[in-house]
Amino acid sequence: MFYPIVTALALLATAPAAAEPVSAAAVVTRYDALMSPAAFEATMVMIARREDGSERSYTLKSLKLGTDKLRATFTAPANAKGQEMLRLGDTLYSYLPNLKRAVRVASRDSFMGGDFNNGDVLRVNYTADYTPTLVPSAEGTSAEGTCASLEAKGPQVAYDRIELCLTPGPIDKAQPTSARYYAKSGKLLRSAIFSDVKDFGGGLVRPGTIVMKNEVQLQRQSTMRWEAFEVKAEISSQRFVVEDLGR
Amino acid sequence: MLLKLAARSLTRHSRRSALTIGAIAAGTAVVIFAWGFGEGIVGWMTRTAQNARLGALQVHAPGYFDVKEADPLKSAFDVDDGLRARLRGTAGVAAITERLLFAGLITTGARSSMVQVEALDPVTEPGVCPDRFAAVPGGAAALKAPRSVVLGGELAKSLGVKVGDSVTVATATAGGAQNALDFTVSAITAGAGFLESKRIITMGIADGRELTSTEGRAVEIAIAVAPDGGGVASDHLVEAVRARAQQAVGTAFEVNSWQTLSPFMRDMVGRIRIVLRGVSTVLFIVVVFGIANTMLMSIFERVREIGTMLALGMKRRKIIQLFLLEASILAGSGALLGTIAGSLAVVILAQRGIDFTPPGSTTQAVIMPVWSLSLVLLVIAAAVAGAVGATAMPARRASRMAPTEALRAT
Repeated sequence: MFYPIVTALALLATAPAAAEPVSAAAVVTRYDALMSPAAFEATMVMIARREDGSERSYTLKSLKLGTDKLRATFTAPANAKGQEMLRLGDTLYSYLPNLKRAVRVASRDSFMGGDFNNGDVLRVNYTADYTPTLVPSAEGTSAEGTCASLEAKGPQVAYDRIELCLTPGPIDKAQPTSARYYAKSGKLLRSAIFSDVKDFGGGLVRPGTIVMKNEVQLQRQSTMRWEAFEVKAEISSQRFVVEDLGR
Repeated sequence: MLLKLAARSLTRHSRRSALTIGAIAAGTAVVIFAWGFGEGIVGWMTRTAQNARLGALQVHAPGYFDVKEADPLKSAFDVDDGLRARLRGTAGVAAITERLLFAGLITTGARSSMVQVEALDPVTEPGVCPDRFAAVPGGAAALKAPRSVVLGGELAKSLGVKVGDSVTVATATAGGAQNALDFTVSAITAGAGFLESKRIITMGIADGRELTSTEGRAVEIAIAVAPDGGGVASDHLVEAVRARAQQAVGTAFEVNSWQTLSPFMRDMVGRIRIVLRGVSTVLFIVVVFGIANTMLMSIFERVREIGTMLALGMKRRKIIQLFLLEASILAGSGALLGTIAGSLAVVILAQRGIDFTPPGSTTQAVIMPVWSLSLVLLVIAAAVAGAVGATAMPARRASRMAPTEALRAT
């Protein structure tokens, strides 16, 4: 009698703790932590495919500090080299090297003519911009995992609603798998697939590729691929002033 | 007696007199017709501006002209019943309508085009611009069903769509978020200017407001002014009503006439009138020189006759009056004949209209030449006055001849 009880107690002691339910806020926090850490330096390649089948490729370096400073510098191709974009709070600037000055641009404008808009690249902060709610799965898909519906907090955010899905399992290991971006009318504007999860070093394991499909102009699609990603402890805030653009 | 002498002199040189009268008649006929045609074009442009596109007046938020090219939605303002009542209650205002204007993207999924969107109220728009939907099959009814969109022929061709097909229109809302709605192509217009046919789409204002999240707002309120004759309100009346409307809405809004809103059309109208004045001036100078030439020749040939009249005791003043009278008869007869001919041409063509394809347009306009009594009287008076003026110096010189020398002339 003694031994079954001891065995049962031993089994109970070694049994894994019941998984805590994932909250919607945790989904968004996890996404922001992976896709837009507080301070990082990254090298990306964006490939935009047009309706006529042609492709344009851009290579850029991006720097981020905090939740409201981000700077992107284009290094290729030759006709884009030297162009920069800077986000300061809610304001976006585009620096044109041939004009040697920066102009303000809108979040909603397309990022270098691709299917990401400026906000998609330079203003990723879903925690600040959206109110999440857990949903069983992404609308219109059979994707499995942890999904959240993100409702825009204000009219200035690019998308009225985003359906974001992460891989199933513990939230601290989850990776984004897909996202669907909706207009206020309910129309699906974009859909994204996250893939190529890799270890970028420093403990950062995250998708290395996002394919953003244009669901309105169906022939268009853009791919963002991270070649390098380094989380930084600190970046000088002087790199994020308009006057520093072009230097 | 002077009249008899003048008539006899003119008939004695009948061929010369006929040629002079004919030249004057041709000149004045051309002036009457050119003015009539020019004013017909001006009238067509004014009617087009007021009745087909802009309305006589428009109300905007201050600063509209600074943003209208880049982002007209930035100047959208709230429209409430109070504002509508103040405008409708302004003396001279016949009707008002609200509009939204914004940039967008139209796409079939496979093909896309950037466009300028005009969101109109199909119920009230015809009251302000009765010709707005003239080129739209089905008229304003093409926009009555929700989610209907009207495209120009060039745009429909480039997108590969026909009536009944689905398209998506995407734009940014007033707050900056992206939005998109599906529409059905309800009509394809024919005959607009190329730019309009390729780059402008029209939808109902309710759909436009939903797409841009601007419920209860408008970028402009267009106003029709009750015409004071000729089918459109005159410039003078439009300006008077504009001032009253501006007073009614106060400084929170700007009220502008169609000429301010369409400086291109205003400048075209101005240029047409300058050209007409130039042509008329040139013709007038030709006419006057013709009369002067004829009278100079007449005086030169009649030196002995002048000497005889002086020798017989005719006062020098009477000599001058005689030549001035002859010039007046020539000019008056020629001008009268010319204005009759020109007026007949204007009146006959005004019944039928003159087909005219404006530059940059694919449709024909119909120009109705305008006849003006004041112009006719002015032309006759100018011809006579010009003739008298041109003859005055030669006639004075003739009157100063010494009778004996004049009689000895060969």
